Amino acid sequence: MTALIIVVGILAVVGAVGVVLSTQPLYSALSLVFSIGMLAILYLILNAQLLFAVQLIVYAGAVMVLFVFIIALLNPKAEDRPILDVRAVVAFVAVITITAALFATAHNGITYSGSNFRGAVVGASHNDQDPAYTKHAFDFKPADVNSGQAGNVQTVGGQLFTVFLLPFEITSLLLLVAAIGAVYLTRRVPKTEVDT
Amino acid sequence: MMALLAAVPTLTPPTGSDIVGLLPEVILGGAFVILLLLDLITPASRRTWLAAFSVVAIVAAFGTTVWGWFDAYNNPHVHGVFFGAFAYDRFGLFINGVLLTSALLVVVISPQYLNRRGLHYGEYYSLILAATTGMMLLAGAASLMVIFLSVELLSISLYILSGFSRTDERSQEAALKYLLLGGFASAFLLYGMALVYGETGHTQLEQIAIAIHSGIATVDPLLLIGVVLMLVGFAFKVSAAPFHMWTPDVYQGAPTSVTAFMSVATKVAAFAALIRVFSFAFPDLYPQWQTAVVFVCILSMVWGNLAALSQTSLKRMLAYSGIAQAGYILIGVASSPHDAGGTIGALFYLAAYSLTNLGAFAVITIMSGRGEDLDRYASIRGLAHRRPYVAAAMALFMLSLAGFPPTAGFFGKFLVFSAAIKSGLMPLALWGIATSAVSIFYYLRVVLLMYAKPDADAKSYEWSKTTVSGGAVVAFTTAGTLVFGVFVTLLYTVATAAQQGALPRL
Repeated sequence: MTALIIVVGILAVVGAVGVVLSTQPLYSALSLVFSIGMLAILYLILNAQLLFAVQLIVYAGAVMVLFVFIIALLNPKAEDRPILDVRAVVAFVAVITITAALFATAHNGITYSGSNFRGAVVGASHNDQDPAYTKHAFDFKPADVNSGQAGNVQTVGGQLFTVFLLPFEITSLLLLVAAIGAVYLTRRVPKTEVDT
Repeated sequence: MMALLAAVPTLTPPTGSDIVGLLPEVILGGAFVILLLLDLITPASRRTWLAAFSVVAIVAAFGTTVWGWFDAYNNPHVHGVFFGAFAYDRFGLFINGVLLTSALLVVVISPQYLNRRGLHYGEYYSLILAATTGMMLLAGAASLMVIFLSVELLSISLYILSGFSRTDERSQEAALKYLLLGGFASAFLLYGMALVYGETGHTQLEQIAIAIHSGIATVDPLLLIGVVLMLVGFAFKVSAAPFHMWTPDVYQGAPTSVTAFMSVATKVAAFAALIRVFSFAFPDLYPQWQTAVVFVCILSMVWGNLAALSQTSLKRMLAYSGIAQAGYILIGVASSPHDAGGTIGALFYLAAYSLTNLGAFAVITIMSGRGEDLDRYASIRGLAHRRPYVAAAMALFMLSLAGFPPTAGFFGKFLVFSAAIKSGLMPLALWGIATSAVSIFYYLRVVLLMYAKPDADAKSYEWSKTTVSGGAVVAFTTAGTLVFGVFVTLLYTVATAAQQGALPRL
């Protein structure tokens, strides 16, 4: 299991680096699909089946198809950029710093016990005032994982309509506003508008 | 099948008291949706009705806010409503009051201005209501999820409103710039939240504070990076330096009534969230975040004031002045861990700034002619000789922004500076006083221009006639600036009650 996580993780990073480094927008998009797919596998390993499906259907499927369509529609040329850019160096250093910190922290937090990987249970961290909830956020009560409830549809749905009900409702308003914006900004402009 | 059903957690629907806690937001959000439908059956020449409907909705929401002010005090929901996602407390309700007042004033001055620019569409009012709903949700948000989503709700509404004039290139440029930079800032905010969640395992502010306090979450670089990234996201929304680059262009390009709205309301809502997150989720980390806030604070005051000196457009000058004012409010935030006066001062300042700045933008909005916005310095020369009352009001707003007594702006500055001195942040108070002295120069320049003799051979500007609605808004903001400057205790008492009632209590 550990070997699988490491291999898939490395492949996900390779895909992400490919997004940034390729000069052809289409290759960037395809690298992104690859990276998203690898992340989906990681979710599956972490026992989050619903997230795995959502990641594949929504991101790798719907969103990426839109990306590729738009790239094909606009037919952009390959990027012409300098090999060494000061901003790129600064960004690189920042990314390395944050990644190193992430690894250092995760090393303290993620624990393995035998063949049983104790992964984060989606949203399960809200009823954990008992001592079984130990040191770190990445540690979860083994009971959650063993009972097979981690990240399945029931758990996510239950959380979504109780603890996360308000965020869920706000999202619906947000989508409505976005739709209004898309319709308003692309609608034909009548002649009555005065140009200042 | 039974095994599957057993896995479903008990679903407890939100109770009546949950909905009561969210009543102002529910009313305004509902009005937003109804307004969209009303727009379909309203004839194009009668769109002022939509403004009237918005006014009714805002007044209703304001009424429930005032009612909630007493209800929340008598029936405190110590852990918030909606499973702790939302804080129904006097702090949020105070901010609601300020936001609703701003929204009301903006809606009242809008029809006339929009008609002149040929932009009178129903979507305008829908989006103003949606943005206000988002801001009110942000003011009460007690969970990272609600904070992020309400930031997005208000931002996306404002991106569209900035680009509301589709034939004006500057408006389109403003919208695009705001969208791109705003998206970038949202990414910072979200990444910060993800790191904080990863460290503490919680999205609720109260639980985050407990996790940090009890040592469940170790204070390591990753948590601090998360906190700083969240600060970056908020600093962008309140337009504090060095994350202010979008402000002048967006304020100048957006239709003036929209600028009036977003210059005050966004700042108020984002500051409310900033104060709530940093005071209630990270109280134990204050030595670390205080350093970052002090840095942003000094940079905003210096950069904003110096850049405002060289402007020749009122809208741009007010944008840089807004950056500087964000710096002064941050003084209150920086002193809040040591002295309750810091938060009270920030709340007082926000209310005073809203009235004053909205008044200044209202003057620009109602005077703007058909062909052009009245925002060049040259175009206000000699205004006092032809529009004495409006010019006098504008002069008062400028004095209040500069911090002269007896205006509300003076006491805002006084409160944050004294909180800084009490909490041992003397240098911050000194920076504040020094940069305020600089600001007098550019604020008074506007006053001098208005009272200068009009040039005989200068181009004559077509100033619009002051209508009843526009005059009422200017009169209201003038009265507010003066009343809160003379009878300070009125607002101070309310701000103190808001600070004391803030949730979650630890």
